[in-house]
Amino acid sequence: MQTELVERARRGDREAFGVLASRSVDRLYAVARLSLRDADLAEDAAQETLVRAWRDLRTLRDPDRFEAWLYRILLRCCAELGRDRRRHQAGLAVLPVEPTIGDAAPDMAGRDELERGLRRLPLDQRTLLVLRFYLDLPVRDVADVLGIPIGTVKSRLHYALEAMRAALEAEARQAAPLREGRPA
Amino acid sequence: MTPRMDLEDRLAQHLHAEAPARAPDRVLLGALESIEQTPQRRWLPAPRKDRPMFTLLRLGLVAALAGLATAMLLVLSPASRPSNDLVASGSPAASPAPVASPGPRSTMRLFTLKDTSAWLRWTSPVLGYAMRFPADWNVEPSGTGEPGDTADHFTSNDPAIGFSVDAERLSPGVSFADWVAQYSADGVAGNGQYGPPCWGKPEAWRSITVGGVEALVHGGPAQCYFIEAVANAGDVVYHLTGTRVDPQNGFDATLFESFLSTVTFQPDALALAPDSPAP
Repeated sequence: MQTELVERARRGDREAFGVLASRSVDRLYAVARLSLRDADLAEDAAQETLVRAWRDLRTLRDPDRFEAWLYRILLRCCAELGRDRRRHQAGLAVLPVEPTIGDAAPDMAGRDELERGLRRLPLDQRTLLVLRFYLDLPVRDVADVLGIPIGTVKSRLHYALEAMRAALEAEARQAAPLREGRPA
Repeated sequence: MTPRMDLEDRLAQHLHAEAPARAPDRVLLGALESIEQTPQRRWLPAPRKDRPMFTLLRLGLVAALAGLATAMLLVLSPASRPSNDLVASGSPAASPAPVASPGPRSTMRLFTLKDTSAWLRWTSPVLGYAMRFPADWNVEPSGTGEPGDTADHFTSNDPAIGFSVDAERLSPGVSFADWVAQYSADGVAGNGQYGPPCWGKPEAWRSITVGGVEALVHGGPAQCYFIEAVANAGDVVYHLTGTRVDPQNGFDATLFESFLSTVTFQPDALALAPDSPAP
């Protein structure tokens, strides 16, 4: 069904592309939001991704790989927007930690710790973690989306997790003196 | 106390908990509004890979056709015509371009080419070639498209019509004939909906000379949406692709060959990374 929609959209059928876009937009936005940690930038990234996908749909050779191709465009958009440091940093300065959906993270201290750890990571490492642990993509599919060999994905994942651990330790070190100095 | 979770599990749980369930409606609405004003780009991607073999039959066919075309050109062409401008009807001498025109070299052109003397000159700093294109077209250079799209795209006022040039190095030990065979197989597999008239067996591809080197042409019928020449210059394969997304009309053959007639290859100038990913 999706393949047929992609084929129709490749031939210029905007209605077919609209269906594809409506099916994809929530996930695109979520991935962008988790990677960029900025709601406004994530909106821009998701929207720009859909426009570019429409514009360049004829470069997609295999309609079955539409989704991976779409994420690849999204990551390019995120990288471009992420380079706008000043806007990004301004966004980070005012962006509150959003309320948890459901009851998935009862340990609020641990959740904030993870959130701050993620923010310490560079964008490419954060994106890798999002693809692997939010989209639950197998390593092979992550490689497909990023356009890099599987071995490279594995090593980058390793480094990203190491960086995350280091970020969490740094957070813990910073928090310790505060806790010690706080009145009982 | 909550038992300590593995970092990967904690991350997965955290990301799923934090992810917004829905995008704001304005994201989709804004995208669809932009798309209404956005034409689709008009090229088809050139499948890339490496490949196997050519037969004596094909070489014999090439030689026979080349001989036939040469004989016809000798009969039809004025004796004063420059040797590198065998069939162009325009006068290269009137060219405003600062670089000398390479001139057409096809051995297969049996019709009059367009006058390219007023066309603009484009020299790719990345792909190692130079070419002219109509003055009312635009060029979108390599690297300005989507990830992995390394082609130069020449765009016309008609959103259905475009021309693109891409290049890739032959892998060590792979001949052009091998490459063509594999390319054809990939094309049939990847674009099966276009069928044999567009890809088919490389033995059936038309052989011409572009920029002084052998090139093979496939595609052409309207249902293909493209016509493409692949040429081997200094172990760099060039894709020269005319695209017309119109189920009733193929890319103008005269325009296509006119583009080809202006091409010169500079494979030593190719600056693409060897592993540039395909789209």
